Amino acid sequence: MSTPLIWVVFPLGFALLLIITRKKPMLSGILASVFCLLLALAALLFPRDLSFLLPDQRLEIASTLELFGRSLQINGNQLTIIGLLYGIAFFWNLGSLLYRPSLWFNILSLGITALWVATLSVNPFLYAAVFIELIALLSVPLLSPRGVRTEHGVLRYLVFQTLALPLILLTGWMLAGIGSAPSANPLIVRSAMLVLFGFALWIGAFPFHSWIPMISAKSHPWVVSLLLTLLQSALSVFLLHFLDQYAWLRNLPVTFASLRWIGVTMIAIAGLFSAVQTNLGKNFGYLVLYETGYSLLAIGLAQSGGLNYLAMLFIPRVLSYALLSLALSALWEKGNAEALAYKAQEGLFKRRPVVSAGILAAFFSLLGLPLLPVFPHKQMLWLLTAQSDPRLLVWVLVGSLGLLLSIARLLRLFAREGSAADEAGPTRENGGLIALMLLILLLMLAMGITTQLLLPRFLDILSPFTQLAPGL
Amino acid sequence: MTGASWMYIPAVLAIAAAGINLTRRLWVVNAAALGLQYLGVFVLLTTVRPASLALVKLLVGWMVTLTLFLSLITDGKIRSAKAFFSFSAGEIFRLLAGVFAVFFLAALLPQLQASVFPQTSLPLLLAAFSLLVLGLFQASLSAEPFYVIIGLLTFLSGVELLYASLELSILLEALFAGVNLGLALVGAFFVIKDAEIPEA
Repeated sequence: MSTPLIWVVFPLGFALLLIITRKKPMLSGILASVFCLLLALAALLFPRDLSFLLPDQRLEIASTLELFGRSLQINGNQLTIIGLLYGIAFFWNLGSLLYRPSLWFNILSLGITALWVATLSVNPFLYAAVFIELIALLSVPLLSPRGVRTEHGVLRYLVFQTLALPLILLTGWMLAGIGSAPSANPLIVRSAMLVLFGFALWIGAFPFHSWIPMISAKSHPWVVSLLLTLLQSALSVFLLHFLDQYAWLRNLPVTFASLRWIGVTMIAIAGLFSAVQTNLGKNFGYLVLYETGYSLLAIGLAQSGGLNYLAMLFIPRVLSYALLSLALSALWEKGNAEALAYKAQEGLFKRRPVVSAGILAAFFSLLGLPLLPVFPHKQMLWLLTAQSDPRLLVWVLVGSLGLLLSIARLLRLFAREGSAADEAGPTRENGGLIALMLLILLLMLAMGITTQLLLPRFLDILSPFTQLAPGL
Repeated sequence: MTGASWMYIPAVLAIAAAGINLTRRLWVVNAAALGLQYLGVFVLLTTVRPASLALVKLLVGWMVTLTLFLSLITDGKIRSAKAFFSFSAGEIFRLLAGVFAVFFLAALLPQLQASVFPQTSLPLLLAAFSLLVLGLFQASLSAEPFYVIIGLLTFLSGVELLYASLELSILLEALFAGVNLGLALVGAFFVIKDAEIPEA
């Protein structure tokens, strides 16, 4: 028995088994949810030294699985992020009992989560580039299901993920001989540029971001939110792997400064674009980009403690995405992609008070409204940003104002009266939807009020990165 | 290392096949050219890999081609190669773009080889980078899923060829095979799915 077997091979096998149940979505959803929950709990509760003390012996679980001369390795200190990834998969599979975006949702979501875990555990870790390509391929049937014409966004997503592949692989090869070369070496600068360019393509950093709003406008919100949440969470940690492993990249003066500038640029641009959107799905895509900007900013501020806030933002951000995508999925169920257009949202307060409240709560949460769980961590990031370079704060402010304007537009739209649909009265919402939304809101409020109680537990995400975050 | 001059034959075959795919929009021709491209890549791979491993790439490549071809047949959209030698303005543009790119690469590569890839032969490097660039053109100049997928497969062939000359990893070979087959399945999925939807 080994940890990669538990968190990579078994889930992939179980995903294959779920194919049998794909025509019974309720059963498939329940099985996938329970399995993901078990894996998440196991990852969070597993002893960090991977050994169990039994009455008469000590049982050690191996951390490595050999594979064609290379290996998958999951150490005890990686289990928190793995628990988080399976926790995300659990919640989204649970939600799939309400919304069934595809017959393949449960199977592929489990397979994709297992591949993200493989991405974070493959050794040498640069091979992760190929796993990420496989994830992109597995995402296609979810993003572009049968009965819907293939959209440009999906194609662009595939193209960008494929373009990143050689950049990362070649970096690995280039780096083989320069582990200890001086940082002025031109090869190092070249490698750093390749790595950052590859990452920019993967994570959808500006100006390679266009595929994110394109797919979020045209694909089911529940699918998009799952895929983007996993992608954003796992890739942030993967970038930390790079920075931790390669001293030359860490010591290059421009690395962290570039990350900070890319981060604030994304915050500003995503905020401004969010303010002028006319489609809620597309707006969700810009919110994801806005948050990617914050992740990059936090990593760029690593030397002054920004990583702590990166780790503690994970859960609040996931909750906000879940709340927003639940609400958007409720709108989508009554129509399709057109149901997310702004013109269809007039008078939403009256027609669907729960859904409109969910949308606004998620927007306010991501903006960083006090009492909501994102606020204390973003506040600390603003402080660190100001200390690092006050010019950066101007861009952050521009992005925040853009998002605030976007919320103001939504408020006006939702409150507008007089449309014919208003007269039909409020829609009766699904009990499951209300329960899930309430659960998320309560969790958000609890985390917002007791900031230092639960979230610091997730600082464990940083424990594998001994060079970047020493002492954790 | 400059490589034996015979290596230019498979290199030119692979580049020409990728060029045909970039230029022409005749599905039956594109499928045949893709098969030829994999043959050229296979011959080049035998210079840096054991023949058994190179053969795996050829088999995977032909399976990929067959998958796409069968999806086109199932769909009933295979068009016969009529008027092969008459070119539209778009085709001439793509042809010229491809030719310029390959000539530019041919001029630039000896310098790149000397500074970055000294262990890779020039014909292999020319084929790898040409496939990368032509695949990129193909994927970015077309909005039709079938051609985007062919572009990505061409791009990946370039990546695999280049990487094969640098490092041997069985795991990576297996993963690349998975990615190629996955891309072919996605391409077939796009073709069949779009054909099911009636034209508006």
